Amino acid sequence: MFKIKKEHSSWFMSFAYRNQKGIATLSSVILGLVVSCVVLLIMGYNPFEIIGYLVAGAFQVGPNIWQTIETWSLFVLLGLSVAVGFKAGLFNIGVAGQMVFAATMGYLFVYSHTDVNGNADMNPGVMLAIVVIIALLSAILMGVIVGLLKAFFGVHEVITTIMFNWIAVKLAKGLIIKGNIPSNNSSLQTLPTGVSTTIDSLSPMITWALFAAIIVVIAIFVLFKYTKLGMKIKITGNNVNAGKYAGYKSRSLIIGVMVLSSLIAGVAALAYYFGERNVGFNFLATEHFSFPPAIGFTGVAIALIALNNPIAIVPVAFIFAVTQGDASLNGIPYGVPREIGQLFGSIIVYFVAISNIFVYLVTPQKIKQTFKAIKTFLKDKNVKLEIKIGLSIGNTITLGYLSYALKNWTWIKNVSRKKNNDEHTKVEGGV
Amino acid sequence: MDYFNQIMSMALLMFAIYGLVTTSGIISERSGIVNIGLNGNIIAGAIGALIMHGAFDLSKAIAFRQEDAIFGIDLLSLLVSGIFGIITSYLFSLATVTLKGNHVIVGTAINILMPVLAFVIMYIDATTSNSFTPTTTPGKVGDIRIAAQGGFDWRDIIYFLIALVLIAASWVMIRYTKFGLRMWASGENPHALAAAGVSVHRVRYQAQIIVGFLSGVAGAIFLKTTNGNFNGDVGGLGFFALAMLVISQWRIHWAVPVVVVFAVIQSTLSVMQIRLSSVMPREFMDIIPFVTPLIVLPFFRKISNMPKHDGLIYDASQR
Repeated sequence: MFKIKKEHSSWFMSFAYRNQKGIATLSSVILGLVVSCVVLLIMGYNPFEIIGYLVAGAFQVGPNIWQTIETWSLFVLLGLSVAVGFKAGLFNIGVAGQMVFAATMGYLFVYSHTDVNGNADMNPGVMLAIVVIIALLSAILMGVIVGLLKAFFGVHEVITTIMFNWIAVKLAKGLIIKGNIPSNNSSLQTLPTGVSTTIDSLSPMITWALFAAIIVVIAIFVLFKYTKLGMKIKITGNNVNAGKYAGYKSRSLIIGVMVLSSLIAGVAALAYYFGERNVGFNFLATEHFSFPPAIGFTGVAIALIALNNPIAIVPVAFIFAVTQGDASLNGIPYGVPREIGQLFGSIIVYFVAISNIFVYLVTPQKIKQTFKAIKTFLKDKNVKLEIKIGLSIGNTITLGYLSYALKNWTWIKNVSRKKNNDEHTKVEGGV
Repeated sequence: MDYFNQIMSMALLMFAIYGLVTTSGIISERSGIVNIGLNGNIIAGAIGALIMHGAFDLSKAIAFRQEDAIFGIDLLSLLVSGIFGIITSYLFSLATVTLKGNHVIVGTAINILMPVLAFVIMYIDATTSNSFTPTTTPGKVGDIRIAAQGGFDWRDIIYFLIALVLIAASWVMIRYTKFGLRMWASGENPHALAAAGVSVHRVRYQAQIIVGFLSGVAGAIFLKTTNGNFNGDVGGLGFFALAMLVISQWRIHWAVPVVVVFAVIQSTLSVMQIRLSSVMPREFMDIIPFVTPLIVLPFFRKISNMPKHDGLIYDASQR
């Protein structure tokens, strides 16, 4: 009857008003990047140089680029696993533990069916199938316990999942070391050769991280967009009481969501531990494996930044794969800590957590005004020339000076250099 | 008897660490903020102590075995690490109180951030002094001298007493002071507090300063137990403290016995692990402190005394 009046003047404004939360998140991500660059500068590194190393490492033609793609799909899986929990209001920090537990159980099966020379006593196809089933089931087991404790006893899932992380790590260490080394005080550095060759023979068949990631993304998208179950989960996550009034069984929903989340974590574990290079196991077998793998926590960051949207997780995971993937970290030269890649992620998460404030700071109106101001400013003919000259000269001078100054005169380097000199003089004096 | 002495000395330190962290967790949740970032606070405290140790050139003191001088610096470093903890908790409270971020998410961000910062700071120092070995992270600043290597040491009693005094002081503060009452109200019903004319934000900031100080001091004491092998991680100490806080029902006077029990269990296991390793691998023994909360928590949840506004974001406009 009535023609609805067009609310917004342009397509941009209507888009911006519809996606205010997204714009706020994007601006907080950008601010996080800037701040982490500043932190790097304070620490005495040139941030552009480090980003250059990361990108060059990630996109080096050859095995590196494939490794980046694998890491990307792994991160997509991890992000989805956490995002599914978030949709129901459950914070699953236990992805690391679920992965480790799944890998340990799969490993134990492989170990018990191989001899020293790496000959499995069954068909590799059958073995692969059993490993997949065992890994997924054991991941689900952890999720179910967490869900049961939450649903029937009201124990907060953050505490239980963290406890399970540590339990899984200790269990893995105990089981793998006890299985391989009878004496108690020696530590295992690599996997026993027999088992590692068997896992290697399984690996080519299991390089489907990318494939699995695509399927899971589509499945989760469909689940939350088009099915009744997805709607129930979302409503329960938004407001438990609303779910109760609508007659949903919140207990079984909680358990079901935990199962789904840990199932995806299990798939990620298969990709990470039994994948092409079985990167994970090389770490699992070492002495330094005494805390939950950091890769389990990147999922939290990815899901938060992507606002739990299964499609948005894909590009966010790509950013993380470039900054934190093994391939890109290998591009960092010796003398720079590899943990610097994680710095970006952690600072960005901090800013995304406070992205509420950006809804008020970066409103569509303000964006439009700034665009307009820039446009009118640029249209001025005198300004055009000035900008061209000014940008080219001023930028080069200031940037060059800044990078030079900060590279040479940070307080840390000063202090340490002083110390070094002192030491040298001391040594010489002593001699 | 030797074992007993070792267990005692270890348990005193453990009590100091767990007690301080649990107390700080209780103060935080009493003021209505779930601080998952306690782990990050502890790491920040440890960094502070490390930097303090790096700032003084201790080589002479160690060469001449002037343990009192080292101990003095250790005590000073408690203060410095407390300040580092306050800085971290300020980051946390800025995001949660003023900017109204989700407590759990901000806490997770702090938890991811602090180990990375710790590692990078240690790395920079280590590489510039040419003593970096990639596997054992502590560089020059990580050169922590442990005064007590096996056997009983009077310095452990000092740490224990410091922790005890701090815990007792915070108990008195919550129980008998005006600020304690306001903090309690801020956790139970912040709108009522605001109606009485008190700034909820201010109360929460003040509570977080105390939290940061206590957990930072705990981080400095934690370094004593690591035998110089600090790798930027405190082994989930902050999360463990959260579990103990739930068991003790958000009350400091119930937290003390709980912490004593856990400290004794933990120290007994870690001292006896070589002896018991023939029975079962030590990793399985390490599981015990993590499984215990999972078994105990379901029973304690039924009589929960949780602060009513715990973990919710205070918004003055919702009054």
